[in-house]
Amino acid sequence: MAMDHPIEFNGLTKRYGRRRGVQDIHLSVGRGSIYGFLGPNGAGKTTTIRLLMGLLRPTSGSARICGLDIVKQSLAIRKKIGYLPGEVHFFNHLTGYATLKYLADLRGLDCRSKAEQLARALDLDLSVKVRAHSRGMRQKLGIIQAMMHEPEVLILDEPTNSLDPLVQQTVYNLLEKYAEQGGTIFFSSHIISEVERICHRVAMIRDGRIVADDSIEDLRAKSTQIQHVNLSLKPGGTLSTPLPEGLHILSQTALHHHLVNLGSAQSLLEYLHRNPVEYLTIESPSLEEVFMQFYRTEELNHVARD
Amino acid sequence: MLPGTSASLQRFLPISLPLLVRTWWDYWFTLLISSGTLMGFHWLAVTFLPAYNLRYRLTYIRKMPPFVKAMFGPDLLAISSMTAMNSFAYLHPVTLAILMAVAIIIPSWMLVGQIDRGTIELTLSTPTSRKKIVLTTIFAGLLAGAVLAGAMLLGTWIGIQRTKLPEPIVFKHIVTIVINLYAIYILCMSVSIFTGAIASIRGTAVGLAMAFCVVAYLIHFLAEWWKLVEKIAFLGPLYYFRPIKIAAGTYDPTQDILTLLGASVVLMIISTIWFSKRDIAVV
Repeated sequence: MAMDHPIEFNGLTKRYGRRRGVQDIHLSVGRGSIYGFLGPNGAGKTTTIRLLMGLLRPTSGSARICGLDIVKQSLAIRKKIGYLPGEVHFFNHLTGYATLKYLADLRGLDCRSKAEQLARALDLDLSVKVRAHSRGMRQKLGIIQAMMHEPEVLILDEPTNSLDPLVQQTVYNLLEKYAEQGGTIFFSSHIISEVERICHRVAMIRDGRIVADDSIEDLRAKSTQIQHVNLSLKPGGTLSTPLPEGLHILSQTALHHHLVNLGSAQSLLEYLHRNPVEYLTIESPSLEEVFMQFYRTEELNHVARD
Repeated sequence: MLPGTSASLQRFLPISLPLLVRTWWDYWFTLLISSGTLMGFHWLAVTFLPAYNLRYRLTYIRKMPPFVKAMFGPDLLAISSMTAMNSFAYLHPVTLAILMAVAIIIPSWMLVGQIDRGTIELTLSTPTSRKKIVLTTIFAGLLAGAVLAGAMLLGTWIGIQRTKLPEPIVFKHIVTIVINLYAIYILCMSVSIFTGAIASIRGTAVGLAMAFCVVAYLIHFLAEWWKLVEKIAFLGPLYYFRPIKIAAGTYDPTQDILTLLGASVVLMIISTIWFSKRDIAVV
């Protein structure tokens, strides 16, 4: 199992006294995959990652990386992983090169050639002291230190923070190449488009709990099951009632109506045929809207009741 | 890669050489200034000795204001030699303040300082155990203390060589005093390691360790005045430091040194366990 799924969570839970941390996380990350871990700020992404890294101790449950227990075999795990914290901090008075050398020395490895190769790819001057780095440069240095020892598993907490779109693209390419070579990436983000762009599978966390765990393809398929309908009626026309099952009015004026259809396309078309429609658009929501649906369950339930 | 820090060697060593070297590069200047000041101070202390006749000195001590006498502890009137007079310098607030400052600064930088700055996340993403970080901190602290102790001895030795003294200073007694003082330093360092292991903010850890040192000094000082404090004087580390008696050659400080080291070892073990098991959350 560990060979196929280098990262496995089994009911991982962290509580801070009465405060919520994360609750009962069950996930499995396949080898060679890029796994997106999506959630708004404060949802529990960083707590989950810090548990994986052994920085926090779980209250209950367990997790394994490459078949090794995150609590009992943390040291052995750290030889196999590369980690980028959400807010990466370095020794300000060191140059980029000295920083990477220090971290390589802590691993007892010589990572010079790979580090230089990554620095070239990300266009980072390693001779500059960290205190003179912009946030973007620090983030690049963080990515280099996470990848320079060619780990089996990469754990990245919002890796494209502060990077401009061109560099983001380079990072995506690096990560895709790494995954193609058999590396596994656990990738937290709150940017849906980047998760959609590079991840094979995604889990969503809300209030410390996993609310969705699906492949990107399945989520895309789900998105086509919802239609947003915008229509204008001919002057004097009104929408017939009752609405078919699954069709709900989101907003309306005298002539314009915005509906959402969670039911079948057939019943929608039959309903529209019975009404004096003058202008009509039907759109499937973007993946972003599907994600947002998980965060707006209450709102949608309210719409459905109306 | 650093010479001799291969993965297998690092696995074998109980400390992290890269972390030790990193600390050395960050603190060599502080250590240079501190040890230079201590060396100069102790050199000067010997240089000024001949200016005072022993008999005059004892009269002078008897006439000292009580709070000044209290600063030097209960053995003040036991001064009977040039060596005992020189041992004053090892109880002087300048010596104690510099030693305590170094004992607090370096451990707090290596433990809680890394949490405070956020660099601990990257350090702990490498195969460096938390136990190794604490052991490296202890080693770095011991090394710094040894440098300071050496500087004090060197200062005294140079002073002896370059000053015409009316009676000789027994250098082996001075060495014993410095060993006893080093044990005091180790206890303060252990307190700093403990506060650094439990706190998440460096200011808090330094504040707590400094409070310990101030309280330790106050107990030593107030015990001369206040019967109640005298009863608890054994709780202060300076109770286990009697340089004037050691200089007189009438006191064996082995038990004091062992008491100080015993308390230090207990604190170091608690700190190592605590730091190994605690949550580390960088803000």
